[in-house]
Amino acid sequence: MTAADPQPALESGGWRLLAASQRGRAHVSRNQPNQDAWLAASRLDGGLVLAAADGAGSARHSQIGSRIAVATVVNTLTGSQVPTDADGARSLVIHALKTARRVLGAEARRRGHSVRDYASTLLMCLVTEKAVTALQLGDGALVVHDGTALTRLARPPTARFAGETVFLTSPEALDAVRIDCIPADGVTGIALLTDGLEPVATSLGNGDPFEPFFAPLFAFAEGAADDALQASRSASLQGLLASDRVTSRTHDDTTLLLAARSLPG
Amino acid sequence: MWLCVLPLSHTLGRVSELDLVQLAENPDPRAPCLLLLDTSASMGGEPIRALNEGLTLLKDDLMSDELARRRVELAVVTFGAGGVRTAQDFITVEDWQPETLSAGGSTPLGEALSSGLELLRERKDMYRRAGLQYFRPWVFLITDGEPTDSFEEAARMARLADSERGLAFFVVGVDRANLERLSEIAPPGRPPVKLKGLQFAEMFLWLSQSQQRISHSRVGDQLARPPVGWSEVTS
Repeated sequence: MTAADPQPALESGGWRLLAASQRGRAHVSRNQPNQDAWLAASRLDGGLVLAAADGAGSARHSQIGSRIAVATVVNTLTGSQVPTDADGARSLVIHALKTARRVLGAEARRRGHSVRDYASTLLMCLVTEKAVTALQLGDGALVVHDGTALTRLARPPTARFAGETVFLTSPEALDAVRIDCIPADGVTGIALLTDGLEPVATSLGNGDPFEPFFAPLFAFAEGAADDALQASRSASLQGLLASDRVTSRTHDDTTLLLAARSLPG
Repeated sequence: MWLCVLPLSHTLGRVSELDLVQLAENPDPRAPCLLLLDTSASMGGEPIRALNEGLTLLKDDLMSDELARRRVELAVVTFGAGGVRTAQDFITVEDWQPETLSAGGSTPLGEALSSGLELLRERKDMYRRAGLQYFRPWVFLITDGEPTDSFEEAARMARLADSERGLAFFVVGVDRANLERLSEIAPPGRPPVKLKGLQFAEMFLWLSQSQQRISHSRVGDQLARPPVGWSEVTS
């Protein structure tokens, strides 16, 4: 693009977004829905709101829980004022989490369900011009790329056993939540993924992001220069999640959001 | 006639940039499952035959699951003739060759439980040293009588570990098992289950299905499914 090209009305600060979510083999074979959900939105100030959630397998209506969670988070964060500092940013994402809990409770009451039926993890990322604020509750991962290194944000407390996690509906949710707020300066890639992808995207022993997984993905996302490319590349991403090489390694639902941009200089 | 020329970029586009994405290699998390089996004299005849068949069925069913066969690790401790014996230390399902057990002797259940818990402790230490993740261990005790040794301390340890959610402890009574005694051993939240007749096959199938679900990543706060089909409902 040159200076003469018209800029899209919502350029989201130059962010290109790809996303895909794939129902896991385990759910396919049991005729159960994809319990993962994701949602992303642009802010009017060029920022971005990303959210992903993974419904608990044991919860009867968790696919409702995960969808309500991401919709509430995006709704809360998209129109909010830009936080003035890190404390303000933390308060804002906590507020989004609490709102999601409240909405889940209200919806459960309305439908005559137990709120435990809606158990879900929650990952969210608020991106503004100055800062990237990440919140994680439960498993999955939030990863940022600054062009040279990958960092996990809002890493959850180590679980005692494999397969154990905390949910939005758990009583200990507020103790288990983790938040990180970092300068947006230099950040060129952000990824949100649910736990189905952890075995292929991270080193399970220490939880570190696996560079050869993310680097080509961020490059792929960065190249999605217009809506058509974002759509077709998201479809390709879906193909990767549905591929044998991924589904043979994980039978879980998998969800991946990728936001990438190039920075001048 | 006309020629249709495909631009070079079209054919090159068939090689996806996503082929460059590499997947991390990670060792499988383990699902340790400890079986404590009564092989005392009263198990002779039909009961031990059915038990042995059940163990083979357990292996075969677990083997049919791609993830479980790699992740589930079984250990077998027997108590009967010759006292307490570690018939099998923790081993992956794939490598497990179930031994044909024979019946005889008394019922040193307490010692078996103690031994089993120690075996499990050692296995967890190994996992930690090797950096392996593991699912919450299951301890499955099957007996047809009542203990002939002192079992209180071992039972207390097992119940405590269960209440702290460090393991899941299941007690199954067969045939003339003293359920009252078993209630002193089993965790209060998970009372002993009476096996229907000699339906070991159904019980081991249930165990296999449960272990398969556990070994398929996230279980969260999921409780074990109630033992329907192979247990008697007691009032």
